[in-house]
Amino acid sequence: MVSGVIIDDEQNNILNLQLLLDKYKNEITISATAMNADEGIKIIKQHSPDVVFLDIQMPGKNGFQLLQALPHLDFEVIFVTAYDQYGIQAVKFAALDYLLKPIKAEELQYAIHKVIEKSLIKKQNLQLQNLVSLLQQSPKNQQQRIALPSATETRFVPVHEIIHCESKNSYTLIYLLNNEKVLVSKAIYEYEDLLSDYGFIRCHQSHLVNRKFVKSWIKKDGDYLLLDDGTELPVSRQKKMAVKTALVSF
Amino acid sequence: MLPDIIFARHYSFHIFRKKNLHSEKKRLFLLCILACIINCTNAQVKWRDDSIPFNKIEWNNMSTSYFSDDADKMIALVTAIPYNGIDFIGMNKELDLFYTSSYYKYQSNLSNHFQKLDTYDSGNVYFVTPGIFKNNADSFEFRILKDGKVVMKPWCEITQFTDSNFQLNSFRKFCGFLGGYHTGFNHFITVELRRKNNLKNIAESSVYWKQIHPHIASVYTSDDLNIFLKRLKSAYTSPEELNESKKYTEEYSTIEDSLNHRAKMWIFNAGESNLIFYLNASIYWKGALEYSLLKNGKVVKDWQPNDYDNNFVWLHNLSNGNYELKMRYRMQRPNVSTYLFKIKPFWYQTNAFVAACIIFGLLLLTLIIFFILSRRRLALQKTKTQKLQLELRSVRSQLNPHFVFNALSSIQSLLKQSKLEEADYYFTEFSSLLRDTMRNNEKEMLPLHIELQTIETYVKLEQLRFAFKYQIKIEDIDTSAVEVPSLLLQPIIENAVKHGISKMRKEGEIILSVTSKGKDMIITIMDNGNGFSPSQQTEGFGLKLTKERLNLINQTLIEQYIDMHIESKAIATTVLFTFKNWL
Repeated sequence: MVSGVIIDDEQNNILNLQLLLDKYKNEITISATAMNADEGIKIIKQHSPDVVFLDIQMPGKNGFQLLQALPHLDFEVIFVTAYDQYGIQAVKFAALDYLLKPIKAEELQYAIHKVIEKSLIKKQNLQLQNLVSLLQQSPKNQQQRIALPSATETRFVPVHEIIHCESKNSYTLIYLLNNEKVLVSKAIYEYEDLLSDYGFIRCHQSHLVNRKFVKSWIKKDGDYLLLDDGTELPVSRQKKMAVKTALVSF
Repeated sequence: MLPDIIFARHYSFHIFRKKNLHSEKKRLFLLCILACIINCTNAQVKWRDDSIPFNKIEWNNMSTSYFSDDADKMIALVTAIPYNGIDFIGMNKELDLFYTSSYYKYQSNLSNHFQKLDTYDSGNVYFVTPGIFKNNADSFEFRILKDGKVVMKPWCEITQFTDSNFQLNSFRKFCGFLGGYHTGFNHFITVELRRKNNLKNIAESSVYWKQIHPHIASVYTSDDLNIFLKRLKSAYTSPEELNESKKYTEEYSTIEDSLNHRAKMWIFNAGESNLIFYLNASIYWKGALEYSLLKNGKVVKDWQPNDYDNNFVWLHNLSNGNYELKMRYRMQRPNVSTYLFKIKPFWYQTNAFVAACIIFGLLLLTLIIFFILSRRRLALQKTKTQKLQLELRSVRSQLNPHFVFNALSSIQSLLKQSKLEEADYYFTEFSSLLRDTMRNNEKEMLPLHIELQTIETYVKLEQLRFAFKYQIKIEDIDTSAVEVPSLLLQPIIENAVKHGISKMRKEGEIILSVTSKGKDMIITIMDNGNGFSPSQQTEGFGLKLTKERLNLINQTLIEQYIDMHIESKAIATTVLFTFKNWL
């Protein structure tokens, strides 16, 4: 049995989530609810829950500030948000789970099962700690670590160690500086979304490249980017102008 | 200096004049006979015995046939012809010219007794007789003939004598004075002098009233100034003797000379602003010659006396153009000589150049106007494009209201029936679609994967209402990598549902397939509804908008384009998108 708390500024949302979770009452019990961040901190300290259902947008402190205020992050978090506004980017960057309102039954089920699996081993939540450190740092810093969830593990890789990414249908193959390749279960467009602020360029529909590894632009039967490690990545005609602009503007 | 010049007069004596006289004589003879026939009326040729008081005669203005300082020792007939500042040098070849001490002296080859002289002044010519004085006058007699035939004054004695005011050369005062006479131009008067009762004339003098026009001998340009100055220094030397270049000395003819009134025109180089027209006459007084200048048919200088006391007209500050130089002698004003000349324009003054400038200017103006217009048109097009894009975005951002409210109505119906699970499913799918639509309309291009997800959500919702079948087939396409214009396919699916399979319920089927063909990606959306004519108006706003949007998108694409083809048959409608060079 897993214990959980719900933190949301709207009574109806708390109630709705409780009703939805009623389906999983054999697996999860809600021990407390709170309607603002400060109260939330209190109940987390009080109940030491395994799972926290956390609304991001709240009056006063928001969900992220709540997390930053806690000394120990030894629980799982399922973010609940109405719309993908600012902040969800960081959640995605840390590869944490989130639910969008109104909550879809199947998505809830998926998230619950994942959380239960993880919470069986009570330990420091690295992903959450990563998120908190992400939120503290200034953006566009390549020292920041991105969570790369693969089938067996989630790795935290500094952005500057990623050379380039290649689309493999709904998966993405990520090429690291130490010649390692990581296949992650997210589409390339999601990584483009996350990494474009860090100097990554979508040079081709199948390729995303870290600008700092681009050595030169080659023209031979089309355009190519030559990387430091000798890799050649194609530049598609449609992206040519955008790539040129991106290469000189950073 | 002045006396020298005056003394330097001498008179031309033309051989050809004789011929003229001869023909004149013939004509006059005929005229006389004619005059006799018509009752002896007076001949129309005027002549007059002048009665100007002796002291009013301007002896200063007279040229004489003799200078002789020893003329008083012999009896001579001296003809005094008005000088008026002009003389015609080099015309008479019969006169033997030489000079002693300070003045010229000449003797006629035909002896002193017989002289033929010309006058150019319509006024009187005077005759005096040095060597005949009151004391010996009674042994001489003279008569005046006109044109050698008509006796105007029969033989008579010399009854007038010069007075103490008389001063002509070095002739002695109080010598005989025969009077002043004149006749019309082209006629002559002859004075004959003889001893009484001796039929042999001791002296004869004929004066012919000759018409003259100014005649140009040569033209000097600014290049020829040195030659011209040399010429001035030796005024009585012929151009041949000075070895003058005959650049402009040949073809001088005036309008009046040329029979067809088309005189030759001199053409001077561009920039010749100074021209000197040198006349073959000896002119010593600026008043003697008058000229006027016309440029391009307009009078630049009206008739005016010459600017110099010499036999040239010096024109200054000339610019390019066609000129007419008109000249006349003051004493014969009706006889005008008109010379044509032209100063070439510099290349930049030519009409062709001016025309070229104008054409160039116009061209430039047109270009500027064209540039401005095209810029304005471009700006207009840009705003139009922006407007259209905004329009498209606003259309994209909205779900079809018909669909929205039908969906809400369906949820309401499920709630009323207490089908809560179904209602919840319908509701959350609807919110997903709303979210996708709101999120995706911000981007022009979207991963095909997301586009297909949105379509699937939509289809699921419509399925709840119409219970048709659908399939999405994907072959060889990385839908996460490939991007398509956002919400491009959705209106087509909507159309397929609305016009195609909505009435068919469970038999209805929509198949969306994504395939590749070389570098092209092909997406077909097929439904088995009754179809519609592509030209039909009812094909829907969505379809029309999609076409417009594709036109717009194709303008922004490089080496790529998206083609939409609609094929509607009775049993199926297929919309085929070809994404050229897409992969």
